[in-house]
Amino acid sequence: MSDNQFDNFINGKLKDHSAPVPSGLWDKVKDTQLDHFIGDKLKNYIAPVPTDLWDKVTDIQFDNFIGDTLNAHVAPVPGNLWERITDGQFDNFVAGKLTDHTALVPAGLWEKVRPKDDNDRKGFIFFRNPAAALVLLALLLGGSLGGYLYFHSQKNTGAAGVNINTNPAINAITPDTKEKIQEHAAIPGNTNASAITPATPADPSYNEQKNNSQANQSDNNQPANAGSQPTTHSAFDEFSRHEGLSNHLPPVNQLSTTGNNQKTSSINPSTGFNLRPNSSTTVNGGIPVYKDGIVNSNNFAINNATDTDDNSIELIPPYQSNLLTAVTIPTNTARFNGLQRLLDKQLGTTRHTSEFRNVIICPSDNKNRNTDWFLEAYVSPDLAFKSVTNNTASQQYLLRKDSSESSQIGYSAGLRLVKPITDNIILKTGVQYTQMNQKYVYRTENEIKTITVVSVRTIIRAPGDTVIVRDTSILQQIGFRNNTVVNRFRSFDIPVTVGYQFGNEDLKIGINAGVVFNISSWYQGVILDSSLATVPLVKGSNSMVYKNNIGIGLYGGISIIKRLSDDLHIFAEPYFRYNLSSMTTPQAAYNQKFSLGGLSIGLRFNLNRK
Amino acid sequence: MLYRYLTERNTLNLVMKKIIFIIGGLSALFFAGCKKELSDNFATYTGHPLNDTVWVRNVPGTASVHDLFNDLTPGFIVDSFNVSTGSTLRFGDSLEITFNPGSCIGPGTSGVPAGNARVEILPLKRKGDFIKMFRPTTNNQNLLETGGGFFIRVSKDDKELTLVNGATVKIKFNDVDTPKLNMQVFYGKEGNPVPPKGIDTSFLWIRDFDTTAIPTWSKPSNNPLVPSYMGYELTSKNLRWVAAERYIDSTLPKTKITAILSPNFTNKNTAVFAVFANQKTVVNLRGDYPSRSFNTINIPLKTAVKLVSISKIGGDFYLGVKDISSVATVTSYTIVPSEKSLKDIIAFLNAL
Repeated sequence: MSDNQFDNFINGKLKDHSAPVPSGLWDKVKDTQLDHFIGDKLKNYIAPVPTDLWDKVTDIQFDNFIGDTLNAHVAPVPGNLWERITDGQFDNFVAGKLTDHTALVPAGLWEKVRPKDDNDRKGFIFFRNPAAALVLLALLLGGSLGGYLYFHSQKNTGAAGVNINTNPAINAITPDTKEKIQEHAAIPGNTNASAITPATPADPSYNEQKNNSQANQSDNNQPANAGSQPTTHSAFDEFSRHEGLSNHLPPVNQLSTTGNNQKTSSINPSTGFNLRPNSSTTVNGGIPVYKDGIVNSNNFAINNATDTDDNSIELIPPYQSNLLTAVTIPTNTARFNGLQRLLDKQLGTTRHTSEFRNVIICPSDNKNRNTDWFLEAYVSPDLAFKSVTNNTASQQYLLRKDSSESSQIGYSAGLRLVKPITDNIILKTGVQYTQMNQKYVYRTENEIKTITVVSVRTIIRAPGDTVIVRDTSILQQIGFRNNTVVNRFRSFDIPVTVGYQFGNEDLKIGINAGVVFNISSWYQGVILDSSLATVPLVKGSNSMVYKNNIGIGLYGGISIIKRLSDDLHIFAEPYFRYNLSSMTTPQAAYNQKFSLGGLSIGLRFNLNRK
Repeated sequence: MLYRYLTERNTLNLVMKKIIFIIGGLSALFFAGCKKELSDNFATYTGHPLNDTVWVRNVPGTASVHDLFNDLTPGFIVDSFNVSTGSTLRFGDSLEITFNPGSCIGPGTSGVPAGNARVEILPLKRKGDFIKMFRPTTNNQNLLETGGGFFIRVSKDDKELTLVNGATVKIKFNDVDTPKLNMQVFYGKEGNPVPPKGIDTSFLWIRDFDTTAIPTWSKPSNNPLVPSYMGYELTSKNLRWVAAERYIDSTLPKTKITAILSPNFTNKNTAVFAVFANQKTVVNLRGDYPSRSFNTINIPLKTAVKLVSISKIGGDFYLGVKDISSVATVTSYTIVPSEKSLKDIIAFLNAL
């Protein structure tokens, strides 16, 4: 019979057997004895992770557990640690942490920040935006110097804390680290399963792991070796890995069990530091608020007091051979502050957050408000589209009118106030002058055209006396004239439009629609009267044909806006205007309506730029 | 800082260039939109008289210049008398015509018609009258000064009568000017046949064989309300065109004057006359095809004349006047006619 057979026999017999511990037994057992016992028993034990175990633990739960545990923990930086970390490593570390971090920028914020000089893309990027470069450089230097001074002072003053190299407790475990743990545990025979194997400084495996980690660290001066690590693994992950994951896991003997209910509600501090600050208080909805001002959104917090009634805590029996001896701390999936990852740098959360507060401008409550006002000045070549319906006119009249009239390029000009309601929605209104031109061709008879001619004559004054006479005179010719007259239909309007624009700061595209209210309209030119004669239509005359107000029109357009400078944009806006009512009076022999298409080109001035 | 300053300056220049370019473009667009477009496409009428600037060597009878004088011909003074008994026809104090008994006969051998005959009289008292009737006071190329003339036509039963050989008709008429001495009887020689209307281009004044001076008469008036009358008492041996005229007496050298008009005025539609200012002499300037001008000769130098052009183009009348205070040896005179109404032209001619 092999040992395994015997063990399996015993395990099978005693697996579900429970026996009370004799009183005083635990007192007789020293901690180190228990640790050695557990360590010897489980040193080389590899246990698979139960199915769906990690699925029951959310990242946020795990992170919050670690974060809350190490929230107030301050550890001195080992000697020469900072010296071994190059600036690039630290920068990459910070950059890696903030790579996926997004923060809403208040509307108009970037407009208020002096942009880089437009169009001059040449030169080093810092020269294109030296202010931003200086700010970033100052932040980096300040952060580095502050961090160095802070930790250096901690080290010199011998502040109480646990040496990260000797403390078996978990300093920080990120979700990435947790994934690593799961990965290692799932590999049978993996000797690096120490991630789930508690170790103590007295444990030889601990020293071995420590040495290995130090050796690895010395071999690899770049913890966040971008060349060998996936980009999703930050320098912080690498740093944690080198420090040895076993060091960061809580020792098994720190977990108290309450029998087979597989629930644990507390982690007993036993190695000289408290996993959870006692200064915490719980307020609304169980959200703990720490005295340092950092609001922890976790619904669950590790308390010193045992709370077996908390159903949100899942307990894992540590001594069952087929179960993982790991702590599962369920938390809700609410907000997670990634800045707590910086705990590995021995930076307090408050301190770290306060530093970033100086860098990142937090969006205000008025983030959607846009205080800009713009003034648009534009002109537009227009082309009018005429539609005529018969009222009482004869067919000959309409044919003559149609053959005589043709649309020509007109123009519009105006000023508009532009108020962005949000970054995308804008409101426009203003005044607009429009002149539609119509070419009117008609024939006039018996027109006299005078031509200045120089005639040369040979005059014989007397025999042998011949002279050449050059005379300038006026020659008159009679004929018909095809006259071309431009009829001008002018109007003053108030356009009111709402637009939606999108794009970047340099180029935006907008869609505008609205209503055009006519203020006044008047006309000048010629018109065909009932006798098919062309008669003038004098400006200001009380015409019986055309109205003085053509009512309301619909407006639609698409604008393209290009930034020229901070306060100046140029835009082009093809548009179409459809007048709802006819421009002719009911007494007119026909009904005539104009629609207008054009291309507005203009400048947009920022009136309220701060 | 220097780099930033330079960059900002370059950027500013770039923006300013853009703005200037944009403003320029918009301005061009604006002015293009404001362009005053009043183009015309003129086409002449084909065959319209005003567009006919062609001169002809021989003016046809259908030319508008003939119509012009049909329009200018005044109305006749019409009266009647008994051919057998003769009669004196008086028209106020200015004209008195005496027909002797049996002095008129019909055409052929019909003899003296019995009863009244119709008398039609056209007096030529003023220079304008000679123009209106296109009867310049010239004899071939010789200039004449006139005291007045008449066109007298006697007809019976629409048949024109003539004077019996040896018979005369006495015409006593007043002159608007002071009667001149040594005026002689001149008869108008018409073309054969006489053109029914228009200009008789063959017409000229021919002096009577009897070169006796025409006696003058006067009827002075001491009443300022009653004008004084003076004139000639002319005895004519012929009916139709008869006048009291004389060859001009000038020892001054003579010259040729040429009138130049716009190409619109050709010899088909225009007649040009030289009207002497100080004497009753009217000279027609003939159209000269080679030089497209109107000219005449034998105009005494230093004479004050007025060149008058009368044109009819289509239905429009044109009058041109060129005052020459003293005829000199200049090559030509330019007349610029202007459109006038027929009434205005007649009034102008009556005032000459």
